[in-house]
Amino acid sequence: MLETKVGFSVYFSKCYKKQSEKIVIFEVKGCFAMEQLEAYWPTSSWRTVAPQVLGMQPADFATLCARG
Amino acid sequence: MQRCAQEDERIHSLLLVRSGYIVFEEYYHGWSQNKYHNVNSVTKSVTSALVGVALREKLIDTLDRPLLSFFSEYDARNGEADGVLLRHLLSLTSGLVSPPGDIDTFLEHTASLERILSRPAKHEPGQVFAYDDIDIHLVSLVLSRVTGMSTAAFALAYLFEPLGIWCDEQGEPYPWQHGKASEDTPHPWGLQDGQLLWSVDRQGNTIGAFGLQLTAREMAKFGYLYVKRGIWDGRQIIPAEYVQASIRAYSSTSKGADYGYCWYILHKRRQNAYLALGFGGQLIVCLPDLDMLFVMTAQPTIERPPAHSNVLDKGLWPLVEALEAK
Repeated sequence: MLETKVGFSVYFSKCYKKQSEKIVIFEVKGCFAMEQLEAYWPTSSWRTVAPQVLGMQPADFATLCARG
Repeated sequence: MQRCAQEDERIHSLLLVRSGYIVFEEYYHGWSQNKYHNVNSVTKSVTSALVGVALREKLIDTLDRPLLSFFSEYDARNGEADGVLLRHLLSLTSGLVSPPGDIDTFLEHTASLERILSRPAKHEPGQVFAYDDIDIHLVSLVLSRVTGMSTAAFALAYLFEPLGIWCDEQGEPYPWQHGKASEDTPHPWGLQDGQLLWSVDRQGNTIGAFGLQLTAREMAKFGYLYVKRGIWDGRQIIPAEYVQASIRAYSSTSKGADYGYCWYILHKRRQNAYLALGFGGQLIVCLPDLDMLFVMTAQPTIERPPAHSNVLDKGLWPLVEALEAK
């Protein structure tokens, strides 16, 4: 079970339930969460998803902009 | 995170796709989703992809076709390009020598086919990598010959339209023409096409090596096509064999990576990773093992190391390693 702060957009209702001030995502890691994603081709537009759904954390991206 | 990117005023966009979904997308310094960007030599990877499309359409039978066979009017005795095959151009191993490039010399040396094909040879074809815009421009001229249309028009009909590139989200083409997107300044080494966002030479030929403009999201679509081995929405846009051949190493570059058919092969850094790279930090990094790709655009600068060096070394690769460790 993985906790994340309220205010983060989670699109897949099967994956979470609201608990007072927190959203709890079940089994975010691994295949369960990925199975909730609809397969599509981004011909007209890309879709965005909260990184947690794919087992990632916003903090994972902190290194992307790190400067030496 | 945004503050970090703002420290390097050259970075215009960063975008990360995983499993077909955007999980990270930021724009800086006035750039946005709907702003077209010169992708510089990422153009070469698109031109290479179009050779794959031409193979699919049977407009080209083999990459082992001699270059001069596409230009029967040219007298081979006037140059040293006799042994050069199409695949040598794609892997930048033609052995032909071009003059140092600048704004005047590229347009001057592509002003006539005779001049392009009469370049002297320094090495045997297929032996030595030499980064050369004119070799890939020749690929564009080959494409025009076999398709009967400009390379840009061929791209539009056979590659961009299926992927929804150069279209808005309603499928309307040329969004920059009706105010839904804005275009970048044309590449300084080329001339404006007038309608399409792809520069031309003095004869009106689409420049194969640079001059294309895409949005960051369109760059991601192109990269995603390669991550998916040339398949898009059930259609094999580029033959899988050609995709595979494109990301095989044929030679070594001075940048520490090997080179395929206009893709940098990063297997020394990471197995099965490859990169389309344009001057000044325009890049598409494909990581098919993670079903992931990364796009960046930036303001080119000559006097400083390119903006992408830090982003890759201190940003993307640690991220990839962290994901793998999970």
